[in-house]
Amino acid sequence: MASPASRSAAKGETILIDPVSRIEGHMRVDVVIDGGQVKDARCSGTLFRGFENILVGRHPLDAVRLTQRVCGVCPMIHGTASATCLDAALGVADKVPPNGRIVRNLLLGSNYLQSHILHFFTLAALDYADVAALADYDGPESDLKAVRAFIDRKDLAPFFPRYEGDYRCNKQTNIDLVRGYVKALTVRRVCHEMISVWGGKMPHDVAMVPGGVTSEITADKIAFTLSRLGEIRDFVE
Amino acid sequence: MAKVVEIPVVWMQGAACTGCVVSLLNSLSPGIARLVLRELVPGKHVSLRFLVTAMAGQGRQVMDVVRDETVKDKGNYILVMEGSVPVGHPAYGTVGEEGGREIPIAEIAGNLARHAAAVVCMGTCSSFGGIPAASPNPTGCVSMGELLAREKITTPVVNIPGCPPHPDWLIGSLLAVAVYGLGPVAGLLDDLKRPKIFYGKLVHETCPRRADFDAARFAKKFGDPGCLYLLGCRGPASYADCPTRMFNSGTNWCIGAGGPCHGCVEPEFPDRFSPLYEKIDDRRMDRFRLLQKPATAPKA
Ligand code: SF4
Ligand code: SF4
Repeated sequence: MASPASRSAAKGETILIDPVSRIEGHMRVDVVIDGGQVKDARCSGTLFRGFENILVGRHPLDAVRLTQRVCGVCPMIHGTASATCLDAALGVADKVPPNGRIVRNLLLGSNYLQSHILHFFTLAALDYADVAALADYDGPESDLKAVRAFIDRKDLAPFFPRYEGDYRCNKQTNIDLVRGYVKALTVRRVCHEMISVWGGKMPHDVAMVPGGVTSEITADKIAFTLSRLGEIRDFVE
Repeated sequence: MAKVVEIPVVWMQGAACTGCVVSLLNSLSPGIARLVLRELVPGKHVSLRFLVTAMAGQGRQVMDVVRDETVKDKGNYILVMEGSVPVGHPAYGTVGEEGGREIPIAEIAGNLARHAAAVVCMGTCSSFGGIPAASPNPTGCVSMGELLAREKITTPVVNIPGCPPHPDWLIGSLLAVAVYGLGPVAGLLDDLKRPKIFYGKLVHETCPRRADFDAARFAKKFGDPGCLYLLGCRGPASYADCPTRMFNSGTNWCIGAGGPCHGCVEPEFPDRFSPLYEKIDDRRMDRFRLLQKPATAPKA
């Protein structure tokens, strides 16, 4: 296959990052640098599955299930796109009942919350937060004590290796970031519980169908959703 | 402090959607922070050496981790494989580059499997081919089992199918391997190499709508009460404990939300279960056992 040099006509030193970590999927980045300046950059996805081809000839209802498998982080947007397409194709776009519309929005909105928390903390934060700042933590918080005990054991995967670059936050900010990172692991899960109560399970729901949703609306599910949303709101605020 | 034994885990992704990783993040007991930071059981800690979705490092740096694992922890690490393996053309899926050449997933998965203590296939894609291998299988995807057979790799395999699997199914199986070792665990697998503690019963056997099935109270359209058999439920052909375990911290499961089981844990998913919303019948079901009379009456 093509080597990075042949991917760009620009002259200079090429920096290759393959794989790019902490994203969904397979990706590489080639950057050409000359005299301290970026001359060219190229991002490429390094996995092809051919979803469009897989959908050809199938029963249309199956699309809402299959297209969600494009991405396990954001399945609901693929499901929603697919279901609304089918609404239009089947001529029922104006017949989705209000409850169906609201539950669909809950499914999609909760996934949106999940994706933001996942992106900001679980994926991106390790570029900014210096986990090593917890090596001499002697405070009372059990999560942070667990991080310190983890560092003491000296097997530091998956937080090392890393680029030993510019972790410019001060110690207290680092502690706050690591606390947020650990707490976000729980809060992101709660977002999925909010989807599951209407959608059956996450990733990949079963409730979104053309015309609305399959799930029943009950008082206990509304209470469950409000309580979970409250937990997420507390964290975000 | 007693010495803690590290269980090195290398999680490699092929033709996948990362849903299996996200499902692992959904684990409740242990929560994911506890799983990564603390001991799984006293004296044993899972060391997540390689998982592109979560690890701090990038590029070359993390490819060195892969290479080092196969040497330093040869025969000792567990390979968790997510996703099927595209073999139709090397360019359909690559991870990293070596000497100017992008490394095909099949090559890296094969190398990792060859030197692992065990291969745990996380999800239906790596267990059976799953979604990327669905007709017309545009990229020639095969399951890990198939790749191992082609490459004559004899490392033991445990399949944890599901689209995605319940996190308990993976963590429970890893724990069993860590505590009992691979030998005894091999005896606890079904004919499709799935741990029987999780995949021992049909969804149909423990489904709360089973009484409706037995009384022929069937849902005719989405949202109706009653058994979802006529809406295409694959519960009578799918082995998993979803009805009793339930997903997302025990919040719900497919049939609980009024959606029929699609049989996502079976090799038939998705092609031989398609169209997903059409009633199954004996003719289309080669592993459809419950509604068929046994050939001979069981001996008393
Ligand atoms: S056919 Fe499906 S819904 Fe009906 S009892 Fe069996 S598993 Fe439950
Ligand atoms: S109920 Fe069926 S479709 Fe749903 S997760 Fe279980 S096996 Fe998969």
